[in-house]
Order: sequence, then structure tokens, then C-alpha cells
Amino acid sequence: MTERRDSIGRVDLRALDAAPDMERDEAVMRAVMKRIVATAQRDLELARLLRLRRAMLAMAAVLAALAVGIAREIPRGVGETAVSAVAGWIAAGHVPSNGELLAALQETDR
Amino acid sequence: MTESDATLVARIQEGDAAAFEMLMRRHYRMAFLIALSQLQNRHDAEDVCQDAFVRCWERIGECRQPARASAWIAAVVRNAAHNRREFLAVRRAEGIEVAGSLAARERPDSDAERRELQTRLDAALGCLRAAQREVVMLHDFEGWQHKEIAERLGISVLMSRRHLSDARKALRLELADLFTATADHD
Repeated sequence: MTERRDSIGRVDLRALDAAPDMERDEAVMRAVMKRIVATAQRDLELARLLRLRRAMLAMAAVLAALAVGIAREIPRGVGETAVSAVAGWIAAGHVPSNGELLAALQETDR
Repeated sequence: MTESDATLVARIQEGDAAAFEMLMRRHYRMAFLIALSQLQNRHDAEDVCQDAFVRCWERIGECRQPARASAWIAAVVRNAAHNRREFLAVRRAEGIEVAGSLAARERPDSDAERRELQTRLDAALGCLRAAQREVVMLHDFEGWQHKEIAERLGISVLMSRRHLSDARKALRLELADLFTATADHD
């Protein structure tokens, strides 16, 4: 009843360019879906990379823990000569010769 | 069986694009008319709808009342249309012709009378408040009933009736010469 009353005063808006146009509507919706799928794929890639990064970080943490464990097992003093020699070369910007490398390693073995 | 908006929103929040397509198809027409009522240009309204629906997908987590997803979509479209309108106003003020508007104007249309009527209607609708435009478009153009308009736009039935009545009165004033002594029955 009320709806019928509402329709009596209806303004004729048919001249407006607003009628459903299946083709155009479909084109817009297709474009939306195309953009959404592209976004979803990008997000998936990102998630995959994040997962990979997390796995690599975990692996690095394990390796670091192992290295610390091994280092604690090695008696103090061993390898210090080579380390200080290498540190000296780095500080001086010096590229060691084969002889210098061998000498440093022999010092370490002793 | 038709899935409710709430169910579709839950699926979309899990990343289900097919559910989003269903929701978009269900509300596309409403979204288009909301955008058109603000922009009065089909091309612009379609562009706005496209951007607004992509935004809906990206921000589905912000839809806090999934059962009222249509009202949320309406708000996103309304915002996007408002921004577009401001942008177009600036472009026009700067004297830059907008491609969409130009295309619409140059559209081959043999019916000059109809085109003039359309221009008059567009101008008259432009004098209404945004909410009034939306309601009069959905009711008088699309043929929706107040209950449906109220549900979809997230307003009360009373408010929908009020917007329609005010919109019609204003339109009759603006288009007085086109109306031949039709009494307002609202």
C-alpha cells in the first residue's frame, strides 16, 4: 500500500544514462577480478618469500649455535695466530701471498 | 542455495576470490548507481566502481559487520566517488578536459531531445544531497522498495522515505516545466 503510494509520485529518470548494460558491467567486473587475482598472486609470492626467509633465519640460527658449540670445544689459543694475522692483513688492506698464508697456518698447527 | 553476505565475507577473509566475485555481482548494480548519482557520468561511475571493489577486496578485514556488507560496500563506493568528484572538480577548475566526460559528450546520439532531458535531469540530481540522490535513483530508477534500500545502504526505512520525498520535491522544483500539474502523493 505504502509502496504503491510511493510509486505514484515517481520521477521518470529513464532518460538518464543508467540502464543496466550487461556488456559494460561484465567488463568492469572482469577488470576487478583481474586486478584481484594479480594482487592475490603477488601476496602469495610475498608469503612464500617470507616463509623462505623465516626458514633461512632458522637455519642460520642453528648453524650459529653449532659454531658456538664447536668453538667452546676447541682449546684456547689454537688458531689465534692465524686470526690475528688475517686481522692485520685486513686492517692494512694487504693481500697475503701463498707463502704468508702457509706460514700463518703452520703457526696455527704448532 | 544462495549464500548470505556474512558467509561470503567470511570466505573472502580466507582469501577466496570466487566468493568475492559472488558478492560483487550481488551488489554491483547498487554500487554503480551510488557512484553514478554522485558523478553523473557512466564512464566515471564505472571507473570508481572498479577501484572501490578492488579496495573492498584489499580491506575486507575492515568489514566489521559481515551481515551488513552491502552497507559497507556502499560506504566504500561513496567515498571513492566523492574523491573522484573532488578530483574532477579540480581538473575542471584547472581547465583540463576530462577524457571520460568528453567521451560521454561526444557519444553519437541522434536523440537530441533525450540528450537535453538527460542533461536537465543530471543537473537537477546534482542539486540534491548525496543520500537523496542515492535513494531516488535506487527507488525511482531501479525500482527498489524502501525496505531493500534501507537494508543495503544501512539506513532506516523512515530515512529512506524521507530522502525520497525530499528528493522528489526538489526535482519537481528544478524540473517544474517538465511536470504537468502532478500532485505529490508522499
